[in-house]
Amino acid sequence: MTDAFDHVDQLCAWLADTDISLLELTSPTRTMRLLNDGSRVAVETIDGTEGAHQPALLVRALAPGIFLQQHPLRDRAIAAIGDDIAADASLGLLQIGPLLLPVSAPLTGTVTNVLARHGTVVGYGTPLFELQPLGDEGEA
Amino acid sequence: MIAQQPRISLLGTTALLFEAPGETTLETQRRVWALAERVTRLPDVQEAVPGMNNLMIAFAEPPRALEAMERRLVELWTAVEPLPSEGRCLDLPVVYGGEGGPHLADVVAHTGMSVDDIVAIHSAPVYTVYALGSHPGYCYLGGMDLRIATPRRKVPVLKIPRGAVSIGGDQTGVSASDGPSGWNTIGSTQVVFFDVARTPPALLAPGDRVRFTVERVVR
Amino acid sequence: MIVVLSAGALATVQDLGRSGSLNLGVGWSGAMDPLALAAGNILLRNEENAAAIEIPVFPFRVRFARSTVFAVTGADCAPRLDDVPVLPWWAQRAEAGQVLSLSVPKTATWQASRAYLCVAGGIEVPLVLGSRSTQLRGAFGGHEGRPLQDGDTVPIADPGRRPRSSFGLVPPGLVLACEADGLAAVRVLPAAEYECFTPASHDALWSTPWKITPQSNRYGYRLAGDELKPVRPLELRSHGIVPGVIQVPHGGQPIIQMRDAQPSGGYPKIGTVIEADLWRLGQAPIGSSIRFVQCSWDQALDARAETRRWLKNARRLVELHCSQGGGGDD
Repeated sequence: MTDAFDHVDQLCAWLADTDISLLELTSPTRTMRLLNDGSRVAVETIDGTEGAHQPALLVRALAPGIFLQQHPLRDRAIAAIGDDIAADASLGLLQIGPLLLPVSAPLTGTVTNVLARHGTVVGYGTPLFELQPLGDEGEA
Repeated sequence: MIAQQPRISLLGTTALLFEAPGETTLETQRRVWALAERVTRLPDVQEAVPGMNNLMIAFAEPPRALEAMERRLVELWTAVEPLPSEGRCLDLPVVYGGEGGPHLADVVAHTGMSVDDIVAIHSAPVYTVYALGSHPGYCYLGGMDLRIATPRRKVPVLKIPRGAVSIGGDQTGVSASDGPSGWNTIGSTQVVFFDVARTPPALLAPGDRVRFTVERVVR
Repeated sequence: MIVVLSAGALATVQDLGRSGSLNLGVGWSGAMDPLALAAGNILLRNEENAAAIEIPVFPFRVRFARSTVFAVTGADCAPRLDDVPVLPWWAQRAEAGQVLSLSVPKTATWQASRAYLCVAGGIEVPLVLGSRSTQLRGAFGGHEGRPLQDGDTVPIADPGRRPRSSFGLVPPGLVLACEADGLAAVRVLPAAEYECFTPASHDALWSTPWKITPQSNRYGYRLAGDELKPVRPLELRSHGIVPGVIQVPHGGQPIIQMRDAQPSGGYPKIGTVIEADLWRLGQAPIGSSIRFVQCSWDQALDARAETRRWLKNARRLVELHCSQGGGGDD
């Protein structure tokens, strides 16, 4: 396979058979997201120039595992849309067998989107959260 | 219910209970000690704990082939030579009655004997330490005269002090530390039965013998 | 060093227990939930048997006198480090002077009653007869042979392996769950006097709930339920018993021997909770009901092996994670 973008239909068909909820393909010029909601796979294309207008930051899975929005002993999400999160604080968890690893905020920001479903298997690099950085411009 | 064959039963996956056949005797107990010494050397065994004519065997690793282990135990039981009961003989001075013996009157009431008779009968035999159990340093003694046997108390006492000499059913013993007890306390001794700073920490071991000597009788 | 600010009641230092001294009359003691203790130690790269503080009554508060990595396993008691929430079953770094507060356990997904405060290196109290567990009867082991009190200072041993912070373990209670009719269940092997009980007693044992009464503690759980009756009165000779043994005294209400139980007894035994399920019993709260499930020797050993496998796998993945430089450095 030379270019994944040539095989989107094939990838969609494969994805539909898994419980991976999101697959993102990135090239220097564009990004394509395959979103699997369990019943069908939708394709979303973002070209490079459009991406530059989006200040929101994607927080990705640093390892393959099961994405958890809440701790297994808790019934409340660690971070929900609208929550302000400090840099290095946990947004969610990745479960690898008995191990729980934090999904940490790379900088202080507001959670604007949760991109994976609680309890689904995610791959390395899968975007999990969208974070709007809380910067100096807010003080103007 | 006196079995003719040894009886082996499970205590979960944690231990086995081996019960020797026949009446409770010192001869049988000496074989229990020998079996304990022998099975401790088996690889699956963590510790072996003599009771009154029985032996609890705690597993280091519970064996898949349980029947093989049970057969082995029965074989060992028939093969072991009774260990001698030639331990030390210790005198334990006891103050009978009074503050340290609050239930002496209950033993009087139950047996119909006088305080002097009870004290004389209790202090006459040389008792053999059959086993340690119940709490650190506590000894199960064999050899009490059944004439002073008195049932356990209906309501246990929440705290009887260390050194309490008591009768429960047809057994007698001495508490090694403060704690609850359902037995009838008839006297007290100052002897310290257990001290972790000592090696070994327990004063007495199975096979040792004790005699209660009358220090005083408080009426 | 840990300074106890608010000891609650009956918090004790425990490791996995003191074996080898039963024949001196010394029981095993040890953690009521050995799985939570072992898992906490694995998380902190301690030996599984390192000592921790078992906490049954809340609130409980301590101050760390020096920086350390700790984990609170067992019941989720909403840990807070100063004012910041900390996840349960999570390796967390505390700086010198920080205060850890634990509150009454909340039940969201797992009903449990005891928490374990584990520290990297383990609680450093002297080994007595091979163990650091508190032996209350006889007053030795643990911290001065007694429950912790406000103002106590408890030393921490130097960690052998460099601990990592900022990661956790899935509580094994969620994975190794066992239920019957919606109640926590423990598996039982029949004991010596099982056949001496009436058929109605057997039915009651296996098919009715058993309530854990307030007279339950580390010594034993006194249960309330249908009366268990022997066919005829039984007189037994004193013999060794272990945690998990279900004794039936004259009243017909069973008592399960727990970690501080005396190591010998003479009441009829109807069954014994298998070793693999003792942790679940140790976490069952007072007032809750449990069920007994009959099992075979092979099933009991399989359950034991499953627990061992979980711990071994947890150890392997924790070590892998730490060797890859994952988590916060400490």
